[in-house]
Amino acid sequence: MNYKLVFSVSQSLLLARWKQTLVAAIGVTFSITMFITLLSFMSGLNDLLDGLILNRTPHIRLYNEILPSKKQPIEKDEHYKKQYNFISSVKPKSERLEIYNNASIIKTLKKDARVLGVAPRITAQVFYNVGSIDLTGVINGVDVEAENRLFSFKDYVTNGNFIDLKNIPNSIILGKGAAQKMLANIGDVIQVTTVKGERMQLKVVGFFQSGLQDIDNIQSYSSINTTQKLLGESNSYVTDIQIKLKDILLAPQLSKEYANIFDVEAIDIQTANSQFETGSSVRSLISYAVGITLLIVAGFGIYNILNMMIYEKMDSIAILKATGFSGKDVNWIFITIALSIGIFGGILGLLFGFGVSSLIDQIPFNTAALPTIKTYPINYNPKFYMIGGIFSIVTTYFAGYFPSRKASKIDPVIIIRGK
Amino acid sequence: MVGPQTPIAVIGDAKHFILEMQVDEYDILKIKKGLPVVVTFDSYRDQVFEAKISKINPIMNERSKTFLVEAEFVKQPETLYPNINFEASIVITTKSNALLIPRAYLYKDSIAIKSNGDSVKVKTGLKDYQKIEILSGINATDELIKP
Repeated sequence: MNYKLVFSVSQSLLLARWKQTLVAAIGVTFSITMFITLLSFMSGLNDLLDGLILNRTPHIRLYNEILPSKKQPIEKDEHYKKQYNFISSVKPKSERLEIYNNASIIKTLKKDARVLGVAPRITAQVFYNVGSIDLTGVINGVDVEAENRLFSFKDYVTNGNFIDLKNIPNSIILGKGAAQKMLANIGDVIQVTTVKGERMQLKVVGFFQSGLQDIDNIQSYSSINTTQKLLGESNSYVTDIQIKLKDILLAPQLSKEYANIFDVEAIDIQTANSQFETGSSVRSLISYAVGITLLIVAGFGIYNILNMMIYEKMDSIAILKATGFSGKDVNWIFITIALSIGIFGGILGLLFGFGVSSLIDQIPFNTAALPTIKTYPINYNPKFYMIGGIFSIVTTYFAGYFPSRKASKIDPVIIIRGK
Repeated sequence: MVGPQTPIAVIGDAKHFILEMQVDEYDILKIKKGLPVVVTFDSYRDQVFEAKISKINPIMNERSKTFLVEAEFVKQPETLYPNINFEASIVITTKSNALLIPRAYLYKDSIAIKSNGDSVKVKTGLKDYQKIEILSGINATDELIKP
C-alpha cells in the first residue's frame, strides 16, 4: 500500500470540502474542550469539598472513651463464668480520658514506616466568660508545628500568625464565630473557665475559620502546654493522638491494629467520614458520563459527515477503484480522513480545554465559609487530558471505520455503468 | 501549700479496707446485707476478688441519686491503696437448673410455639436482651419454633 498516495488522496478529499471538515473538527474540539473543562472543574470542586473535612481529619485518631467494661467482673470470675448471668444496671467505668503511656505510643508510631506523621492533641471543654455570660466552647490543645505540617493549620488561621500560638505563652486562636460573639480582637485578653472551675486569662493571637459554622462558633486552639496548664494536668497529659498515614487506604486496617496494640479506642477516617467518599465518587462518575456523552455525540457528527461524503464521492471512489485502488486502500483513505479530523480537533480541544479551565481558575470566588479559596477551584490532572485525547481518537476512528467499510465495498462497474 | 482545710495526714488501718460502691435508687431494693460481690481492679488486671456487702447507708445522695453501699473482702488482695478505682458486680440470686431460652423464641415475651404448631402461654422470670428464663409452661424436652 502506498501510504503517501493514500494520504494525499485523503488530504485533497478533506480540502475539497473544507467547510464540512471544519464543522466536524469543531464538533470534536468543542466536545473535548467541554470534557476537559467539566472534569477539571468538577474534580477541583470535589477536592475542595473533600479537603474541607479530609485535610483536617486525622487518618486515624487514638482516644479513650468512657464506656462500660466489655466484661463485667462477674463474667471474669471462675465460679460464675460457667453459668448465664443476668446483669442489670451496668454503669460505665470511671476511666481517664488521658491516653496511658502516650509518650511511648507516639514514639512507636513515629518509627512506623507507614505513618507520615503524629500529632498529639488535648480536647478541653471550657466556658468563654463574656461579662456575666458564659459561652460553651472547646479548646483544642495542639502541637502547633505538627498540626500545621499535617493538617495545614496555617490555612485556616485567617487573622494573625499561627506560630504566635507557640511563641506567646497563654495564647489562644479563637474560632471566628466565637470571637464575633465575644467581640474579641487580636491582642485582647479573654477569660475562660474549665469544667472543674479553674479560671485562666488567655491572649487572643488570631482567628480561626474552618468553613463549618458549627465548629467556628465553638472551637478554639491553644498550645498543648497552655491547655495542660488550663486543665491543671501534668505535661504528659494527652487525650488524643492523631495519625496521618502515607496511604489513606490502610487506615481501617491499621486502626484495628493500633487499637489492639495500644489498648485504646481508634477510629479511622473512612468510618468517621464515609459520606464524603461516596459523594465525590458519584460526582466524578456523573461528570465522566456527561463528558463521554459529548464525545460520542461528536463521533456521530463525524460519522454523518463521512457518510454524506461517501454518497457524494461515489463516482470518485469508483474511479479510484477502477484505476487500481484496492478496497483496503479506500478503507484507509476514509479512516485517515476521520482520524485527521479527530487528532486535529482533539489537540485543539485539549488546548482550548486547558485555556477555558485556566480562565475559570481566574474567576474570583469569595465565600465566608471557605477562607483559603479565592478563585474557582480547578484540578489540572494530566489524566483528564490523556483520557480526552485517547477518547477523541477512538471515537473518530469508529466514526470513520463504518462509512469507510461501506465505501470499500463499492463495485466500480455498477457505479460507472449506472451513469 | 497547706491551708487550714488540708489534711496533713490520713489515719487508717492499712491492712483492712472497705469497698465503697454507689448503687442507683432503681436497684437499691435488691441489695441485702451479706450478698456476695465480685470485684475487679484497674490495678489488678484480669484478677477477680470476692467480697460481701457489709453495710447499706440509708441516706440517698440527692445529686447522684445513689446509695452508698459498703462491702468487705472475703479474701483481701495482698497490696491495696486507698482511693483506687474498682468495678463490682453484686450477685443478687443464683439459681441452679433454671430453664433459659433465646428471647426471640417467645412471641410478645409470653407465648411459645411448639414444633407441632401448638402455642403455649409460659410464665417467665429473669430476662435480658438475649435470653429469658422460663418458670413454667414448657420444659427442657420441648422443641420450639421461632414465631
